[in-house]
Amino acid sequence: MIEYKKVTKVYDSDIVAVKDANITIEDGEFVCFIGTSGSGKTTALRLINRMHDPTEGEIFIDGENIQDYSPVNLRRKIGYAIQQTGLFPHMTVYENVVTVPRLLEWDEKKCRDTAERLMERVDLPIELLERYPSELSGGQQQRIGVIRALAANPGVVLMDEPFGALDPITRDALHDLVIELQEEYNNTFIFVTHDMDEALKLADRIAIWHEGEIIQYDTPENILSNPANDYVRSFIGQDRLFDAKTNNIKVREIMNDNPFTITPGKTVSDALTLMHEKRVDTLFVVDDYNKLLGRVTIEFIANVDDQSKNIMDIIDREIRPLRADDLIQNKLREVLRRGRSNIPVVDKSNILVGIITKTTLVNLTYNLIWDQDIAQEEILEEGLSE
Amino acid sequence: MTDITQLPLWEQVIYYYEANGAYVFDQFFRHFLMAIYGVLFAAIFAIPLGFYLARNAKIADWILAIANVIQTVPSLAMLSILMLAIGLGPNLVVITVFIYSVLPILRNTYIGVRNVDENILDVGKGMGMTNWQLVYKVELPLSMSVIMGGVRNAFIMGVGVATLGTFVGASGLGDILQLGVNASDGASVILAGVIPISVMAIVGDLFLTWVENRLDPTSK
Repeated sequence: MIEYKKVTKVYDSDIVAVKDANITIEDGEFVCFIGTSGSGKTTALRLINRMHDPTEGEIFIDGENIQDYSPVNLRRKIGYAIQQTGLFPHMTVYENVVTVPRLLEWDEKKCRDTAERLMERVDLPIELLERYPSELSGGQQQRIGVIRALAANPGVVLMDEPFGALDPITRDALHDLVIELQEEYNNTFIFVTHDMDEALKLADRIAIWHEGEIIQYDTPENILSNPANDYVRSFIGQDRLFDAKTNNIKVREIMNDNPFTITPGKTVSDALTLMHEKRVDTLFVVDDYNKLLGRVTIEFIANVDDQSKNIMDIIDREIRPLRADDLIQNKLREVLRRGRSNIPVVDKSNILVGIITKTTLVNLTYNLIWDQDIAQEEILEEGLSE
Repeated sequence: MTDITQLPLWEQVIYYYEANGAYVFDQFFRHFLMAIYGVLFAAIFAIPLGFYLARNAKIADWILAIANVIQTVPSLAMLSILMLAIGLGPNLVVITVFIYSVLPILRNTYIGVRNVDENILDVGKGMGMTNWQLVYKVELPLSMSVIMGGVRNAFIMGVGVATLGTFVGASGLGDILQLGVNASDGASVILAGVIPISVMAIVGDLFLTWVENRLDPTSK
């Protein structure tokens, strides 16, 4: 567990890089520090391995103040990877990978085993160990950078925008690799980035930094659904907020919760009267406990000669209702494909709780777009007023 | 005995070598040692100083400026001045070579160390290297080829300066040159002195260039 307690870092007596930061990172958690350049995220990271010392406040790792360690011993226990690989060009890949184990004076066999195991783990041929970094591709180099940070199996791993210079495909592969490795070794990862997509993909929790302060520290889901303020909202970007909104809407939230129903035992004539009264073309048939049985529609009734017939004779049971807890995004296609105007919504015990109509969907779309317009206008206005 | 002055020039040179091979070899060796000692001591002094200056940029400008000024003093004048303090002999030449070698080695060390990629240093420090480990595991290997460039310059200059040793009683290949200059029809003797000096400078240059390239981390 890493705790920042009222940590402030001031450079050159007047540049405040980190301002009164309080944050707790649990063991085995993957935390992304995100922010623009100058937001304090990198300084905050480098405080952990004492590349900088705080001006005020303290940082604890597993309850121990890091000021009590010598910087050198502390750093050997913490994995470290930086942008542009940071591999030593004059050392072979093997020497690079076992840098920290050698500083820790592991014996040669253990170093060799570790290096070979890690190379296999990240799908790199063992022969590459004898090459120099300049002979490797960018993606391979950064893999080496990652396994070098993990070589001594540190409890905490710090990464400072390690994949910034890579192409999107290589980057994606490395993201997956880092996630796998983190789950496998269960290290605590702190990962600095300025890329929201990267943070959303990797992080268990994201800390958003702005002008030296943590504006929001929460899970990606919560940040997307409840941005703390306009800065966070603009940082996340409208597109992602829009996606997040549609992604997380449940059927329950948009359904009309007042469907028109009819009980078994009623006649076709009764149904017609009710439809006429309520100006609808479909009635849902429910039992006394409001459990959904089926429906009757105007088309069915039109084909019936005897209006005194029980509606149970003409009931349509092929209705495939939606569940109230389904996410709209998962069901939208299905709803549209079915081409029916009314779809009943039931809860877990098949009790009818609402109805989705085409109007509901149109309203949903309209609201989302309209909301987005408003949000964008607000941001524009803010920009102008500044 | 034939009159050797009647032979073609190159035959005269060969004749000279045949007659005085051991002497030439002796002077060659002496010359080489004076140059190499001066450069070696300069390297021992200037490389650590260069590392120190690389970490203290403020005084670096001063020290490098002073070294530059020293470099502008003509080498014969420098020899004469130092002679007053040290007296005659090979030690004087070694010290003069030392003084002239300090600047190129110091300057190259300073530049070489300053040019080591900061990211590399950052990651070395961040992985838990001590200051000393950073120097000998990272900075020194990464700046070694630039430093060797300075050593190469210093050595070539040292070979030149050691030629002047003949004027201060230090011998060396300069003696042969001097002999040729003083003799009538001494062209062959001058050549006999110039050739080994040139060979020493050129072969030294080629060898040190090779070493420099071997040490260049970007060539790996």
